[in-house]
Amino acid sequence: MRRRLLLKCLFTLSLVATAALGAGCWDRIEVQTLAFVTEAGIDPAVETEENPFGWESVELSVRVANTASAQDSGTGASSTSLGALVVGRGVSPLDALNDIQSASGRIIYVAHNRAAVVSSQLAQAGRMTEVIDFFDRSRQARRSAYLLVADGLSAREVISLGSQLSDQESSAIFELARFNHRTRGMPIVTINDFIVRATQEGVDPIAIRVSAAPMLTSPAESGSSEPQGGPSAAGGRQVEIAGAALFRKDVLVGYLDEDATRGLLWARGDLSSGSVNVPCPAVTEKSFGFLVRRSSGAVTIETDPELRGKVTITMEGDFVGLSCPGGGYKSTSQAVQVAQERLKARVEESVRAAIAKSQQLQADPFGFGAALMRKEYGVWRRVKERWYDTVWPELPVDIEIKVDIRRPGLVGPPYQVDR
Amino acid sequence: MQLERISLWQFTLIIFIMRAVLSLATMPMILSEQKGGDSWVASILFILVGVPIALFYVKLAERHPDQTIFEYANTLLGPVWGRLVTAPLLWGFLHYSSVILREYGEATVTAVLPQTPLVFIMGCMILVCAVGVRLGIEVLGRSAELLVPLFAVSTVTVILLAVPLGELAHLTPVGVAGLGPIIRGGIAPSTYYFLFAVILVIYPSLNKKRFAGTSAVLASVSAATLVGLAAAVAVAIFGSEEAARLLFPFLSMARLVQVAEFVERIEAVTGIAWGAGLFLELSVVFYAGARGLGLWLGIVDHRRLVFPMGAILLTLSLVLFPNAFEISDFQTAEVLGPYGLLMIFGPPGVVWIASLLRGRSKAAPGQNGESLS
Repeated sequence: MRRRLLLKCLFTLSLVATAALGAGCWDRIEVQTLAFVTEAGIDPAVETEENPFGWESVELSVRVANTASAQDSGTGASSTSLGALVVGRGVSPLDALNDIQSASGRIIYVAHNRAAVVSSQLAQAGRMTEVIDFFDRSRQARRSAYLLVADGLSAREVISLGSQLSDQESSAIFELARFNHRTRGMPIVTINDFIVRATQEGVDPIAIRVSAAPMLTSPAESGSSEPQGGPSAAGGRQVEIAGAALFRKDVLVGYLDEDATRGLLWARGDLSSGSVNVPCPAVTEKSFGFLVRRSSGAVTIETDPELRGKVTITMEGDFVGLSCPGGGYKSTSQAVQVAQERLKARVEESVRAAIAKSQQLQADPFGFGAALMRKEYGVWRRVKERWYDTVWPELPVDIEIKVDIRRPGLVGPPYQVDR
Repeated sequence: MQLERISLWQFTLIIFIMRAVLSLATMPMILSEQKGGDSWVASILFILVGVPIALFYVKLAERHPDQTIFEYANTLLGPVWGRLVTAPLLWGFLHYSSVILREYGEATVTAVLPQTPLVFIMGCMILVCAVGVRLGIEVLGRSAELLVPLFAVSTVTVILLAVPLGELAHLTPVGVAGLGPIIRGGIAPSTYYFLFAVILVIYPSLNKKRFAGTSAVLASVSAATLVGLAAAVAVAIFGSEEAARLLFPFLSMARLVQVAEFVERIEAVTGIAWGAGLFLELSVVFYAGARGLGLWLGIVDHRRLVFPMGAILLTLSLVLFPNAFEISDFQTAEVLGPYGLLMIFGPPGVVWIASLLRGRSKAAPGQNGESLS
């Protein structure tokens, strides 16, 4: 009995001693030793360093969150409020990350990365696997990070320009994409979405297209807030989300403009918001605006008598701008009927544009192929080989749209004045 | 030594956890080689397979309600043949528990603690299990009442939170590649039903034996449904191709969950659920093994065997596979299929036949006697 008690005491003591004296464990990482990567951009390396195997190099640009400035936020925007942009080079993104690490006293930590920007050159060259592998094999990186393709500028520039209008500490690109989705109906594509669509039969992935645009404010004006832009705010450029990058499997083949992108997303049912401008009934130079509140879409395919695609979209929403001159619109239900017809035509135009562009590029982001595979596997197997070459580019598509304009907003018709 | 007692509810929970924990480990097996919706059809198949196996064990146990298989095998077949026939069972308990322990260790090292030695992670787990086994089946039964709800709630929560990420379209088409892949997909995970053989050891401890069959079937079906559901949601989210590529689909699923930009990074929940569930599963199998070995060797107090067995289990678990790739190689229909089939039906089957020929043993008259003497 006494021996047992002794053993128990010894055991408890040893537990206490372990807890008290243990300085850590194998996987201990102190938070202050981490440098948090919030955005990463991958470009092909411009000047390739000599390596004996002739491997192609990539350049990895990461934005590291400025944890120091977050601590003393009282001092206002300092010159490093966006965090530091660090660039490394290597034969793979991981190698490039190690290159960055070589000059860093903290561990470059990618677990909190929220956006991955890929240069269009890499994507066109079919080198997406290098990028994707970096993000899905490591236990740190997350597949829920957004995937963007930099069109017309390098990924490094995208990261460095960020968004001048965002005062977000570190994830400017992420916020840019997120709010563009919410308000303008631009796509949101995560790395996971990309992989899932790329590996599925009969459907092709898209990515968020980010491109350069002239700066909204004049350089003189922005001079005061110049430091916000980081190292290369000069040049009067900023980045913007401009539609979708279209892939055929994992090779970039082209882009959809914003209008067509919304059409694609509505058709796929991936977009429940977005605003549409429609010409006024009497004066077509003027327009009225409609804000989509809910939308659902489906892509189906008929096999009898011939292959025929079908897109069904149901949307509802409110008027947001009714500035049609000359009392063009009264908010009567009859007038709304007319507006709905115009709206339908407008949405159909967007979808048609998306279909035409995808057919021209021989990529199938709608997933008509997948719809066919699910419906008639036998037919799919027969046409699979020539799907991209002859079947999809010539596939007739019917579009059925149902639009409901529910509310006029806070006021009825636009105000009237007697002149 | 008084025979320990567990309630029917605890028994049900134990059977449930025997199968459900593997929702996290054996899912890749269900998902591999499947096209489109075949994987969830395979999981239905896999739900059905559990029922006859559970019944097979319970019916055998019912024929000899007061003894474990290691005792009545000796009575029926004689001390030498009885021991020869039941030896594979002991090996099975040891082998299967080292495999599931290793899987847990691999997942932890891959996804959470890459620097920590595998032996440390598995050693901690086996130490806790050994303490549980020494305390006996009663304690394990009560742990089940505590841990299984924790396990079930967190697993179901993760699945439910992941559902909105999925696309129903990914679950079709079904059966385009024929029946072959569906059956193949069901075979490997089904071999883990061997773990139900613990019924043959813990059945005598059950206080109310009347509904044992029903509860075992219910537990098996609900656990397999959980596994099937998890597999179906994984396919809905990742598509069949990508789901087959993932080593830990359940973990990847949890990593994707984001609810209202508020609930994120819930993979820790899966880690806790897996840990809690595995502790219980491993302990019960370990208990069955230790108890069985004690009876097999004629050692009165099986608790003396627990720590040495734990050491063997840990070592075996380490040396079974040199790397994670061989685990996947092991868990294919070709390898695990025949082996599992033999383990599930072999030894108990022989005892069944003997029992049919020699007749069932009479229920102990009135009292719950010491079964070890």
